[in-house]
Amino acid sequence: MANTYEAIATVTVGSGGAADITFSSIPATYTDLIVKLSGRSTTSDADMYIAFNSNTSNYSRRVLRGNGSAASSTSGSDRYVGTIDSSGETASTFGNWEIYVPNYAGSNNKSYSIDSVEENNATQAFQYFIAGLWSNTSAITSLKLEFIAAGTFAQYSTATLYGIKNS
Amino acid sequence: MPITYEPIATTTLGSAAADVTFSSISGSYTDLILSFSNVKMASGTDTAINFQVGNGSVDTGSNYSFTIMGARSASSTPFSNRLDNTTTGRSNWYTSITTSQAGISLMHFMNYSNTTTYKTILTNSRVDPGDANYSGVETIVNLWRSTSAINTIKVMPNSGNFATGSMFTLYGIKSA
Repeated sequence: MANTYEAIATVTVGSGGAADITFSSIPATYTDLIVKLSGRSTTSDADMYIAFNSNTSNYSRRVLRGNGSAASSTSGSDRYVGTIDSSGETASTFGNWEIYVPNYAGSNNKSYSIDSVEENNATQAFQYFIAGLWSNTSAITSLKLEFIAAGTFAQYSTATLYGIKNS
Repeated sequence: MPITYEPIATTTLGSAAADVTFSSISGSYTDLILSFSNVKMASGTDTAINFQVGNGSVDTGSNYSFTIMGARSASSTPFSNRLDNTTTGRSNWYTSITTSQAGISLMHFMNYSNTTTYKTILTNSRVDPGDANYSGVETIVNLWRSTSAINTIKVMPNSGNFATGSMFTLYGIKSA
């Protein structure tokens, strides 16, 4: 039987950090994509944003966030995809983040879902569930994660792109 | 390396359908994942996406219960709710797919083939932003009170039909 959950590429951030994590030249041979990230920002800016195919328009999202004591919900017409650990949180602690993008090579608009946690050795830590939509019918060939203010990914941040086939 | 994440079956609807059923599911995996992709309604707005499971045929008795946490566009206040002794489980409840807002969902059937314990089904579902009321995110823990192995899964909107092009894929996961 076919091997259907394959690692396509892995990015590991080296010393000095990285302004973004980008997967490019994504083949269209899979059914769905998953990115798993262990990440941390070098600054207080840890709000991550996504860009498919280097396009920064026509995104929307709904967020459910828990902070350890209460839940809240927000929405927006932007590329926000969650918050990972910032420089103000427990040292050497990295947030976990996963995005699932079904039918990424199809001709429909691209739905995506995200589960993530912002780890912290304190009373307050955050968990996110996000529904996202990129209203664009192009096949996804690249995926970029970035901070649009001042953040950079810290050394040892790692992200792996997986492809899933349904046959 | 052993293959541990295998596609079992895929259904892409060629015409509108009231339900999608996977049957004769092998018991050789540890867990199952049912993935929804680009699932929309053929007409109208759905009020929930339900499912039933069983062995040989689906259980239509009042043997399901579920607890939900989520948020949707109708309110900035998240919600949580629970129902007991229902005739279906749910992958979506307060969020709803429409003819234009697609739903994506991952349903996790844990230890589905054992004959000792009741079965837990975890669902993480999202409905595309854009609808004023029903877009959002939900996570639901479902319980099917039966010790029977699951070899049949049926998913269906609470009313109406799934749209043409809606895709459902069942994967098997092996622990080793």
